[in-house]
Amino acid sequence: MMTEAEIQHFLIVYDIPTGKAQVRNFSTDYDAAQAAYAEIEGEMRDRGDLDIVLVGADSLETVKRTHSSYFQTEETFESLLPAGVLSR
Amino acid sequence: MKTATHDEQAHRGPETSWSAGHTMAVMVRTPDPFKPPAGAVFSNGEVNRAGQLLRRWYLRPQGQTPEDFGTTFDDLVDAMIAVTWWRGLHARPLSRVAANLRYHVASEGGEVDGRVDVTQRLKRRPTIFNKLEREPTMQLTQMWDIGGVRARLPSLRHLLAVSRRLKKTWTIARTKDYIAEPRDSGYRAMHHVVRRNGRLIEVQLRTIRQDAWANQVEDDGRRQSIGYKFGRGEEDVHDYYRVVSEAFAALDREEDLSAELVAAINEGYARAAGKLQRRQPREDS
Repeated sequence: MMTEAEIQHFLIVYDIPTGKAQVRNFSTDYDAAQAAYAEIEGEMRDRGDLDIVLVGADSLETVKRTHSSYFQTEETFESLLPAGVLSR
Repeated sequence: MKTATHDEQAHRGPETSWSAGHTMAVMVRTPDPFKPPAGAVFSNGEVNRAGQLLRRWYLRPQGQTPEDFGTTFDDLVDAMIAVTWWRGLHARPLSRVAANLRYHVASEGGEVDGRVDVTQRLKRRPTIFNKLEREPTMQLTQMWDIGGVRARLPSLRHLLAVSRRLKKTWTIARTKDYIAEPRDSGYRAMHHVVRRNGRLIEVQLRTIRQDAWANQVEDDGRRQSIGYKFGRGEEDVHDYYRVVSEAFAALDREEDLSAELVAAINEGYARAAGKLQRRQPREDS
């Protein structure tokens, strides 16, 4: 079972117009991740075209699954409707 | 709270134009002006006053300087530091709740594709201020979602089992059942707020469909916020979101979609499709 000390921290800088996310991996160093979060929020405070967020999980793979809108922009929620429901 | 770097700036005074919105313009020349210095401590009162000051600052008439506004440049910077410091106090309790939640999700067999989909996040600074603006009476120390944990669960049955388990094992300060009572937008999820080490942490439980819906609406909203306006068709888009959310709710309850609902989805899509501003598929993926 994973403990809180094993949680990995990722700083995501998501560019809204291009739909691309840059990720900095801080591994389990939450203090360093938080310092970098505050720093980049300060530096990028005029950049309304960026979404900056600090997330943690057991792995980047999990983050990509739970924060899918930062990482995949092709599949839309219509794909979860049963086949044939939406005729477009 | 004062630091040497800010004193230097105070002598010069703010020298730039102050832009509207969630930006502070070029306030100080230090590389990271809003990072709390080591050893900084603020009282709850100071944190709340910092939140109030910045809420008023962001809602001020455009073009006002700190002096017009009856404050100083230094006080605004200190307030920003206090907010960042306060958020940082949630980091450890947040990790603790997330680790516990992983355990409870796994105990209920709530993996998706063999994985426990639990993620934590510290609230983005701009969204802290958006919330303070939307809720004028909210004190920053009472904001319950500065630390947030989210679990994505394979079914409604798993979601409710985890929810029951949390209610049994944790002291829940506040519950919002957006499954029984969805938000007007169509948002559905189960939210619990738990107190851990004196801090409030919000736990969001979502089914795969609820999560996909919320992520899609959030992504559409992000693009809207930078200028891809839905314009006059905005209500059509929201109607479509609501009807898709209803369909997902029915599927989560393992019901078939009624003919009426299928018709409503198709009508809603036809009206909204041109206004959704979905991204073109990326070439590199």
